Amino acid sequence: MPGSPTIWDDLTLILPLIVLWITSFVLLLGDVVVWKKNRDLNPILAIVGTLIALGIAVYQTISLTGDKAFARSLNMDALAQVSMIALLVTGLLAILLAWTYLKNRGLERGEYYPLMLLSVSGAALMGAANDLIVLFIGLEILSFALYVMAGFSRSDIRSEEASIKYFLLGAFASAFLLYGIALVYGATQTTQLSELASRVHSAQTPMLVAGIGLLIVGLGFKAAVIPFHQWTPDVYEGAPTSVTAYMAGAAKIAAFVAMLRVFDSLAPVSSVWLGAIQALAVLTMVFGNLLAIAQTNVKRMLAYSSIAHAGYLMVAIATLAHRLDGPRGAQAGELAMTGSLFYLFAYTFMTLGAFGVLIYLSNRGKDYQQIEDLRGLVRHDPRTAYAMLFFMLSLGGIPPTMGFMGKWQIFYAALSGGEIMLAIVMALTSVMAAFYYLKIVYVMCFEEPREAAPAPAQFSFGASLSVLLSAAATILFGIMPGLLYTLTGLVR
Amino acid sequence: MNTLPVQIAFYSLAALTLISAAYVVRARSIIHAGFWLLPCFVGVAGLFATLQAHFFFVAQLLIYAGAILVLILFALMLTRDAMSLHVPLKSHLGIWAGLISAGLGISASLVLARQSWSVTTAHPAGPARQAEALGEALIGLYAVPFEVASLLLLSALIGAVVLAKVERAPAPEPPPLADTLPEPEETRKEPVGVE
Repeated sequence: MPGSPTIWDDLTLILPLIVLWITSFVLLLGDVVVWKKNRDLNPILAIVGTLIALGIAVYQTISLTGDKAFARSLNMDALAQVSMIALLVTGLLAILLAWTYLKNRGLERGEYYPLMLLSVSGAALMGAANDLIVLFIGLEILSFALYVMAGFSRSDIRSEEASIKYFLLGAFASAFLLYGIALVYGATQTTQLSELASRVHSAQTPMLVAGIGLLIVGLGFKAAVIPFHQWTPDVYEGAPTSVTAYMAGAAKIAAFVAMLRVFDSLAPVSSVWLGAIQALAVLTMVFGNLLAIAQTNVKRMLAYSSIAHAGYLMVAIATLAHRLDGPRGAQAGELAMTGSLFYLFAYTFMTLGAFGVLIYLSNRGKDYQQIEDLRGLVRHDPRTAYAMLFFMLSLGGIPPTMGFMGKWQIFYAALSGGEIMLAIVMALTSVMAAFYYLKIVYVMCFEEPREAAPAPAQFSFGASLSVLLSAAATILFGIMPGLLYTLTGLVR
Repeated sequence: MNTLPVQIAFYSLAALTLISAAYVVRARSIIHAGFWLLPCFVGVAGLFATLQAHFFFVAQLLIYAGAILVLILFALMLTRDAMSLHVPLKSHLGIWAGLISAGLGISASLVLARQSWSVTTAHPAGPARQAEALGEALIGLYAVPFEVASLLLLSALIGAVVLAKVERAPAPEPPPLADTLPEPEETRKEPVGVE
């Protein structure tokens, strides 16, 4: 091994993860032993831990210290570090939301934040995996915590249903992924992604094809790609809103960064999988948006919108297939990589923001979930209504927002990679999507409120700050995307 | 090594594993399913033996057939109603599930049979060397997955506590003198009406 890095070099590279682990252990023990009653200390310490981890991750990303670590089983390159930053930001916003939400629902139990931090670390491991085994274990850490968090509201039967449904289908999908890993290993005698890239070309057997197919099923389930999406609406609707918000952001980032990694190393055999990815992308974009139109529940609508966004990201994965087709393809591959990271950032800000608005409004003592509940919001709570307006415009991909910049980058990458058909479908379905996002805007701004003067929302620090940060990011990175390019542009 | 006795041993052990695995899934009582795991684990141990993997043979018997199976059975026996629970296994989708499984099974077998496996004729290393190689792999090549698996177990453990803890009835009303006593270790914040 040249340079022969010591164990300390390796540990330094995963320092943000170590900080997360230590924070979750401290929270777990502290809640039981030290501060038994002070429930506010849990979110505060979780925020402190996440901020420290975020600081270290940003420093390491800027100073470009990334390298393969731990016998090449982790690849702490720019992709891993930028995705870790995205996940930590998601975690931070979700902790702030949970602070308000759990208090309102009487769900403040000490296990929530440790589970969440562990799942963030699992998601970050998926993003950093250079080994399919690490990817699988990261996925399981992420999923186990999410299964439990979805059922966190034990008195609510829908939360229970969400948990058990997610668990059963998730276990099924994990089996597919594991079988796929086994078949790919059988065909290539390696589970390391960097090795895989150099071996797949000479190992094109039916077994490799079957293995790749099963990998697509397993990862597609996590990413909520049609036709592996059946769990999404029920789980999004049933889970406590703070969990839904976190799950929407973190699971999407982890699944797509893992997909970017896997399909980047499978680019030499892109003819095997490109057709399947293209078909899934079209199905997901069309049906995700079509099904979203009919929804009357905001959480359910956002679930279908999350499926639709998975479709746009699948376009980026399909573009990655052309990475080895000459300089033009290589450039398109790079654009797809940086574009999808930008998109994941945008997605996490706008989705957590939209769920954050619901949580903030639920502070009035009633759970705001139906589109009807938002009628005439602009009359009695204009600031919240404007925030929601920005998130809806951004989710719909309308120009001055971050959502537009993200969509534009993937669209441009698809065009320059020669995926003209996918780009057209993407543009058309985006128009379809504008319909249901703007419906919420219409209901908020132009309809009479149902009650003359609803109870005023109590000020809640956590949800307000989270919504404010998300709204600021959505607008700032929409107007000045260059600020975020410096980060996402490192991934190439 | 492809002599006839080894072939016979392999196929009978594979049959033992598969048939008892099918019984694990089909058993009506969950405790019977637990007991059917025993021949399944022993069959896997036997397969390791035919591969001359001495260390794995012993570990499989000790850890799976010994420790883990006993743990599963204990957990089942300590769980309320697990002993008498008879889950009906009739489903109107049974035929479709069977057809799809059979189709997937046949195509998976075809794929596996058509693969040209890279076969080595080298004699397997001795038992000591095998254990050594396993140890090296666990702290070298696979150090991260091996260590991180403990976090997976930790989150599963926390999850089990979260999901199991509230299942008991809500804490009884505190006695009238409660405000003069030190506060109880933990107050349940669950709303009333918990099942």
